[in-house]
Amino acid sequence: MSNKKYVKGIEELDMNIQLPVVTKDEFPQEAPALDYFNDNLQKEDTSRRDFLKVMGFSISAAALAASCKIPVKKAIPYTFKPEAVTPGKASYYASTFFDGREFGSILVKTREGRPIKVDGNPESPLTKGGSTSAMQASVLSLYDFHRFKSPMINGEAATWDTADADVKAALNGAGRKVLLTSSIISPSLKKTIQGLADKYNVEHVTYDAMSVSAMITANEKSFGHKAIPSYKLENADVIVSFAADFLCGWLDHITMNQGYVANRKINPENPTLSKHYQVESNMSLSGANADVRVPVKPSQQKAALFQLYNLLAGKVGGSAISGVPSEDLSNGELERMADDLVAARGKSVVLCGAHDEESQLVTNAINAMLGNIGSTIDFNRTLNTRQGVDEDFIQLVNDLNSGSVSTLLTYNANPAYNSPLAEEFATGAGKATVISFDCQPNETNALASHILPDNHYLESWGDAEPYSGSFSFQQPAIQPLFDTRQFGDSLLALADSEQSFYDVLQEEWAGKADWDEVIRNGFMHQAAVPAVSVSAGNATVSGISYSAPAVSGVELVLFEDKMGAGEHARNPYMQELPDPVSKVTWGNCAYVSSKYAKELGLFKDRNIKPGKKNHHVVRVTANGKSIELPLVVQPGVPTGVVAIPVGYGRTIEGLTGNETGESGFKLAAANGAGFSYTGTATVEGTGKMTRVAQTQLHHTIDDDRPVVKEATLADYKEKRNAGNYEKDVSEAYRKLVEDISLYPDRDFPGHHWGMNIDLNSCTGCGACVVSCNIENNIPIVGKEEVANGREMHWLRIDRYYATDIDGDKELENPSVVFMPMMCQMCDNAPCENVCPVNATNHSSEGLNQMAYNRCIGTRYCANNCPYKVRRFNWFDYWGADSWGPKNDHMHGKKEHVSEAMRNDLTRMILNPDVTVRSRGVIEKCSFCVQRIQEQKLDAKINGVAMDPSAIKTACQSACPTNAIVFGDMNNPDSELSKLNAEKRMYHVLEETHVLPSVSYMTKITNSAIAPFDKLDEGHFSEEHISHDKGHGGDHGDDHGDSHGADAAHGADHSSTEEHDNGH
Amino acid sequence: MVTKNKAFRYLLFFSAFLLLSSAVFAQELDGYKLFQQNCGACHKADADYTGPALQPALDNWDGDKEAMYTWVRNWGQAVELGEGGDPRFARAVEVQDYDASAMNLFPTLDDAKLDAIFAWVANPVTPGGGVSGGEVTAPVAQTGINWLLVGVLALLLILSLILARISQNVEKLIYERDGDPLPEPVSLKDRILNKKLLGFLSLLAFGFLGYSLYVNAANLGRSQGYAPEQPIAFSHKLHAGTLEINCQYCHSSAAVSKSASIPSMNICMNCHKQVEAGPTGETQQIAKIYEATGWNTETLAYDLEPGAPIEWDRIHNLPDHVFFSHAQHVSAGGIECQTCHGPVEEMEVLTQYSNLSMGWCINCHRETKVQFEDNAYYADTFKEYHKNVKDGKLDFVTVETIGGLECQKCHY
Repeated sequence: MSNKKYVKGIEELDMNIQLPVVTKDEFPQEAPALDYFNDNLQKEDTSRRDFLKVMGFSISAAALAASCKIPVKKAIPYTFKPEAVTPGKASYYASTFFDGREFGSILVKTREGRPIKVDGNPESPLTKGGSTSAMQASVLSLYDFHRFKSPMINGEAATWDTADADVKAALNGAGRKVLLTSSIISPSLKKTIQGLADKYNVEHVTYDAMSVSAMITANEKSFGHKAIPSYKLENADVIVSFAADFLCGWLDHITMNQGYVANRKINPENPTLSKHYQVESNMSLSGANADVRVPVKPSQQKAALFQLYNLLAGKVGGSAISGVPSEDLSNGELERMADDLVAARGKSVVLCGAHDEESQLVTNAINAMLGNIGSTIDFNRTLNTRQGVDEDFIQLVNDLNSGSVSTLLTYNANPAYNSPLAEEFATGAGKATVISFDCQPNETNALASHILPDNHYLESWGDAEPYSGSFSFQQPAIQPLFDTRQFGDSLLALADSEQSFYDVLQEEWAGKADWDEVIRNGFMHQAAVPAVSVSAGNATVSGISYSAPAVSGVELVLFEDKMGAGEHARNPYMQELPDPVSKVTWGNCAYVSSKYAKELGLFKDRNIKPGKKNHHVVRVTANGKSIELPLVVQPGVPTGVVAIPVGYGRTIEGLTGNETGESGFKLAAANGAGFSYTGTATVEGTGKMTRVAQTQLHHTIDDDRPVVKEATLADYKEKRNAGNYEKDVSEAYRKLVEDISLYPDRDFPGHHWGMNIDLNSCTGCGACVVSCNIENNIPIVGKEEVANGREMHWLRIDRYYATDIDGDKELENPSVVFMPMMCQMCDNAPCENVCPVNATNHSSEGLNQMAYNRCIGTRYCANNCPYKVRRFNWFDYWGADSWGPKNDHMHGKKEHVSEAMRNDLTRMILNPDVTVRSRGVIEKCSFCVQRIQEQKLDAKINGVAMDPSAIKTACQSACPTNAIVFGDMNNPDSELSKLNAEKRMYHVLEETHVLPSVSYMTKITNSAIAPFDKLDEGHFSEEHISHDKGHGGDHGDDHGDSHGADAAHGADHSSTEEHDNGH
Repeated sequence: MVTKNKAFRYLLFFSAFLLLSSAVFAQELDGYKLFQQNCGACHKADADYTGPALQPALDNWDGDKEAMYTWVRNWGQAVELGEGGDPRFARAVEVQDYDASAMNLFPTLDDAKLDAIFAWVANPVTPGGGVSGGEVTAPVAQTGINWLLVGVLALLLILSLILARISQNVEKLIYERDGDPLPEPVSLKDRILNKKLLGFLSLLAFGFLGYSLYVNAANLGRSQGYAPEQPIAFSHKLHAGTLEINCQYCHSSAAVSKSASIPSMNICMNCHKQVEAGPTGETQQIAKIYEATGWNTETLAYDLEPGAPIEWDRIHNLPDHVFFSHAQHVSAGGIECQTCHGPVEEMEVLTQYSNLSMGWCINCHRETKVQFEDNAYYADTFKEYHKNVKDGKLDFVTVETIGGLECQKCHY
């Protein structure tokens, strides 16, 4: 018998920590004004006279304000209005997002010629409307006032003529000239680079941060193709991943997510589910989604992979690898993995994220042995977004240091920050003339004497071939804001070409495509590409034998989280987005297991009350370098491992300020031909404490009834409502409650908006959160304020660890469930009837409305919300109401980001259809009411019936896996109504009868153990209850024996109880 | 104050009712309206204007309707066809040779609409004589003092003084008759400093101050009657009144967007390329358009450096937390511009006609009936209401009934 419990953090299992303080108080911090009064008024000699002075001033100020004339507003029309612009209406342009790593076909929403939102292009066959958090956030970088505003020579603004002349002189000089770029996927840009290379004899080196160099070289040896194939996860019944975080940026974020979820969605007619094993050393997003997760130390990964190979070779027939340790690393999971893989031959895939060629060769051998080449691994369409080979870059660094390179041109590559050879690169670059074409300042172009700034991608023309045979096109959505020039145009100007880059594009596509059409569509997909012959004959393990990695003691693993390799680390939206797994914002931490933290003696004494210095600072040393980071317990990290996300700790000035963690790249090492992101580390306490802005315990639903529901595939096949309520009983319960309810009956004569979220489709990536932020003008509050529990996100993704609290008390290997949580739009809303001014009330379309200008900020509603989805504006974060720029206490703490976000240029990102809230009011998810109204108006004007799928909320349109469906519950034809009729559907805290309009779908997993083992038999036993009470259950004994059961199955049970209480 | 508001409200309802009823009966294609919307800015039926008079112009096509359709919708195409040797379009080439300025394209005018326009041109009768649909009662002149009320009050005061005198005399007579000593006369000072009276008066004063505080606070930010001097002395009376140019010719996005939009200068230039002087021969104001656009009156081309854009003073301002869509009211609601903006066609200087307060919005939403009959959106969405209206169980459905008073219809 297991006692499964869902928790948001290990703190919830620790009886020594007073959890109720955190979870029960919606606003654990006191009002900032009280701090002020405590600090200033009480201790100083504040007298009655001071009070009168202040009052007198207030009255005269009010009188002055009242007697002022209303300011005259100007209305300035266009002199010649562009035909495509209709003031007040948005225009959409298809374009392409590519930051050197992540790719997406996008639609840019512009208002009055100003891009305000980027979403996936739903018509693109490549990304099918999917987006990533970085792509969503990228629109803000257009309005980053730190961008280069003109050409620069030695830090001084210059003209293009002088800059061009200088660079040409350098290119004409003696010595080797090298152009260093990130992966280039634009065919036209490649041609242009070739033009420059031919004219000046420039070598082109491609550098990728956290490259997949080992894969590229291994593929050349195994298959004869120096390329990355496309992985067709939708064809895979069994997915085994060795440290490849394919759901979070490994290779291609969007298509990987879509392919993966294609086999995770449940068809009630014929339920199938892929089986996903993840072997890894940190808790990655993919690991969190896996059915079976095998935590191993980094040094054991290779052994585990080789063991799997030998097991498969034994079953399928093949030569074994010698020297592989026989010790069982996985609790027998490798054996089951091998069985599953063999059973699904040709319909399985093994992925390997190791930066190690031998491991990649063995992975190739496994996939070849299983017959996966050509079915789940497709070399016909190769992925072009990762072309960098580490060896080339290491050679360049050596050449720079030997002084043989005279001129270094850089574009969109930042090795001075994100390369393990950053220091060597910087020293070497000092010996050459460095010229950069970057758009934004970074650590590498800080070394440059000349900057020829590129346009932002939303200001540029271009094309892209992310997969061979699939093209995406880029068009500007705005005129360049500054005196910048597109990279392609700069290259052409330097090559003395008469052409512009636009001409090159047109020349490239003349005869191949209808230019106007592909620009309007944004893509061109060749349905059939020439087949590439792949011989798997060389995909063997000949010559490979196991040698144990040379590590001892504590092991380090550096990995990419939401921040990737730090491309978007200067983007406040990305910093404030809680990491999908750790829920840490504004910086990185050293993640360890709770056991290891206890070993270090740094587990206790933590104060989890928000706003306090709550985490120990440790010094992590590896490869002779050390960084100091807060120590955070991350369930799932093996004991004896310290996992550190890279991509933080940028030092160049940007919107975010500089307190954003430490760069993990500093600890990485170069070993021979490649880079290593693992190794031996030492961890020592520094005696310091610091604040970590971790949101995991913020807004915890304070209820012992299960909020997330899970069932195994086997149980689901048996019973369609496995893990969920008995629907007919729950209906009966509903009727009973309706009879005794004090709430008025509500009538929804027209629409009744609702939303359905499929927990099986949600991978927790966070694109929806950023999309929601940008659509709804949600402010960035900064690290201090997040630490205070005052983040403003309307939509959060709750991450629950599920564990057997009798077995795994330390959360060593919990399973994880992600649950997007926003206003549930209750029809019996508890927030509405406590508002003293009726600022929040119900609409006839089922929306729980919020009238900001009526709100007086009592926050009663937030305290009464069972889902904890209401947010209070403590400060004027956007600078909407300020009387002057220096009105500091209105804006909160003087953090860099809060200043930066109030800049006039930054504020260009604001959506003009959504009110910018002032301080002192509550706000929350509105179901994107502006989009609802827009689509309704469209239908009214055209005099047609409402298309049930016309409205897409911001979270829904961002979701790469279509986990969110919005619609009209009154319309039986809507997709929503069909989903709500499924037996997997449930409402969170349904038994409270608040009648939410947001429904969820029970998560079905392919793990062997039932998440709620034997639900109907004694899960909620006496034993469990007594345990429960120990850590803060506040229910009386008379409730105890049934409070859980009502949620799990016994609706009649609980209804009687309700009934009794009711009388 | 109160009476004024009431009169104002009645006025509004009355005009709204008139407008709505006129909209209901305007089902058939109204050639006059179509002409005004599409052609009237440049053409008149029987006289030359910016463009030629249409009656003789249409005669030139020998009744070939298909050719006329092509010509009106896309004159360029007609010219091309004519140049390509199609005899039906020979006239198009002729016109082209007159060096006429380009006519707008009208791809949205279908055959039926064009027929309606041609029919009206052949027999140009102006219905009612006013601006299309704009049957608006001018606001009643509002004087500051209601003299009738003052008269009645004065009469009452005199009456009460007389009665007081009588009662005093009668009282005195009674004392004299009964032989009682006369009570000490109360001095005027004591009368005035009477506690009850003082209490009553201060309560009154408090009430008045509270009321005026509320009224004045509510009026902060409201600017009914605001009529600033604009950078160009543009006369709506001339353009919308005398010349009968349809509102949406210039404020073209009112039907499709939340903003009605102030016209860009190139819209002005559609007519003012030809019209270089006002009705009194004055050219100073029109010259400002030329300066802003860089129009050269000598070469008749935009070959001068364009000047600074015109900065109009914005008259109708709503607070930032209000979402107002013109398209909703104009296209979906079918409300006439004058309902909110008043008789613009009579305004020499444009004035804010309504106070644009929330109460004013809400009142209209309470009264206005939704056009259920001819809009599939309402019929499909509000099936129950639609059925009841059809069955006669419900007389009408107001905006309020379908949620038009809810916060998040305007505030989000």
